[in-house]
Amino acid sequence: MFKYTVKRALFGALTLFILATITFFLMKSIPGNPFNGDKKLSPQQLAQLNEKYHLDKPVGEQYVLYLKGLLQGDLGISIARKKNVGDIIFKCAPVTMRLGMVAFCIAIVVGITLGTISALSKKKWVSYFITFFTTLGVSVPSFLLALLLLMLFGVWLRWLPIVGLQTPKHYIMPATAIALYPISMIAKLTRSSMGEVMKQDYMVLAKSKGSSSISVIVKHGLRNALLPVVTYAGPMLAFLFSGSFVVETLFSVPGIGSEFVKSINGRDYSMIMGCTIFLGFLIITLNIITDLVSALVDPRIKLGK
Amino acid sequence: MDEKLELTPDLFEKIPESEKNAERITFESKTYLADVWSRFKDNKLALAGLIFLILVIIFAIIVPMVSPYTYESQDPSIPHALPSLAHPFGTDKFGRDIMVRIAYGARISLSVGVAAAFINLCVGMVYGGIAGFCGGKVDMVMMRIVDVMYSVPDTLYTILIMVKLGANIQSILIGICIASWMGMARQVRAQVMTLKEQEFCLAATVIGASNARILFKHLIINSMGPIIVSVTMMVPSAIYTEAFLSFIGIGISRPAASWGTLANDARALIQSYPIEVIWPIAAICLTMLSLNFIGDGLGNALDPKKK
Repeated sequence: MFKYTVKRALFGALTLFILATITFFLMKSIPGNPFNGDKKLSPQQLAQLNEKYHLDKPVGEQYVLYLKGLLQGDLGISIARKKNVGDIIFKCAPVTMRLGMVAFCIAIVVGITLGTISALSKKKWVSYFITFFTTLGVSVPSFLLALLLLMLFGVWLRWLPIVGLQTPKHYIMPATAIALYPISMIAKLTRSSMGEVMKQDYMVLAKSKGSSSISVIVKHGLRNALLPVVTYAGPMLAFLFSGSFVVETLFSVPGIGSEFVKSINGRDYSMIMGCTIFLGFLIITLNIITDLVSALVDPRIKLGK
Repeated sequence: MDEKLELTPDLFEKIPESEKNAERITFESKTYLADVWSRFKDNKLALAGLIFLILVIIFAIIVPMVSPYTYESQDPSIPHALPSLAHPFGTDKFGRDIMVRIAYGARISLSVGVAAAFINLCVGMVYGGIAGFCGGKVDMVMMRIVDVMYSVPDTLYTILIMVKLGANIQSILIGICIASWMGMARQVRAQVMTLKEQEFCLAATVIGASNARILFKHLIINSMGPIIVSVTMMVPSAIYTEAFLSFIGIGISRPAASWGTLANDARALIQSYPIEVIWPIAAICLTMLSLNFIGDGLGNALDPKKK
């Protein structure tokens, strides 16, 4: 277990290093200097700025300096915003994470409920309807759902506020928009694994011993059926934490997704690099944790084999 | 056992005319494709998806040909016109006909989807095929590279590549393909790994077929079923990525417009002209939904075990 953890961590670090390298050279290969557009600067000031941000050095040296900074947790400086990239990220990441947690809870509760109902229901139209709903959920892009919700509940009916995240009411639309895809995935997973579990001998045994059907379903059925959901929950959490870029932009949520979109549109290269590396780090870490947790939950999984 | 078996005519009797053909196989034998089709069309959702998709394709081809407007012809006298006979979907802020723009958008979005899926298929097939067929060290190195790339979300790669290459269709295709060929490569490799242990592969080797022939003629052809399904699923995901990129402003550059660009343009006016945003949303959602249904239906139809 320990050996496996170390191996995964090293592999994760290597992945992150490669991502950082790719990002750095891609961004550096775009012609132009962030200060060139600024006509107010005299050549002298320009030279000073270039020196300050190491832009006068050869690319190889800049790369080494950048990696050194990364190791110390320094993501560089956003030139457009005149702020430290790390500071910006640490200010907006918690907002995204709060929204992500809300969406995560919605997805888990609704997804598992729908999946279980669809697996257990004897009525054909129930499972037919849920299948239709989950396929719809997988197909409708979150940003379009957000746009639809915004139009329906925000603009026409005016039931829900459309800007920011000040009160719990503000969370409803963005969280729903982000959660629809995971809800559908979890419902699909739960349905298929619940269907498998219901056929197992121990379910028949538990029933024939006289346990009530609810206790059989929850204690024996769901507990076993949820293993695939645990495996999926990690990447899903990563997906939610990395913020649905457009949903945040649409609802003016000051999270990491909207910052990322802003930096892309403003061609703020150091911010793009910082966000990419931060998101990569988050996702890789959460994936490793998921694998370890699913091995702890299910003793049948042998790690590293 | 001296007794001889005596066969006399009275031991036999003539079978009635009606039973004469009792042992004939009355089912007409079907080819594999006909079989797949008969299973596919039993799935109502998949069939509806296919019909809708065909309608969208016809719409995308015909409408720009017969319509008097082009996607960039402006008419400042009728901005934001409501749907009417002259403009069935209405017009946008420059008085451009929305129906024609949606049809052009369909051309862009659908071709991006199909092209991306096709390129992905080729890259994944060659890469995964070689890795699975060679096995050993080659396989290990090749799959580690895939693992490294796979652990970073593809949106990040695509965005980086778009920022680098600029906003046009080629860079969208390159971006989507660089970011998403890994899944296909993994799948092909897994298929090839299991198939290459089977007897027909050994037989081909014994006859003296070359490695390339075995790989492409036998292994990959035999693993086509699941691969076709994931290619079908790749089309909507490429359409999604393209719409997403255009929606955040780094996809197709103006005045050309994909569905994502149209949705983005209409978004700014959502407070005053909400009806204009409906068309691109409906176009993207319904197309992706029908492609997903087709994919599901194909998955069931191509797998005889699921009969």
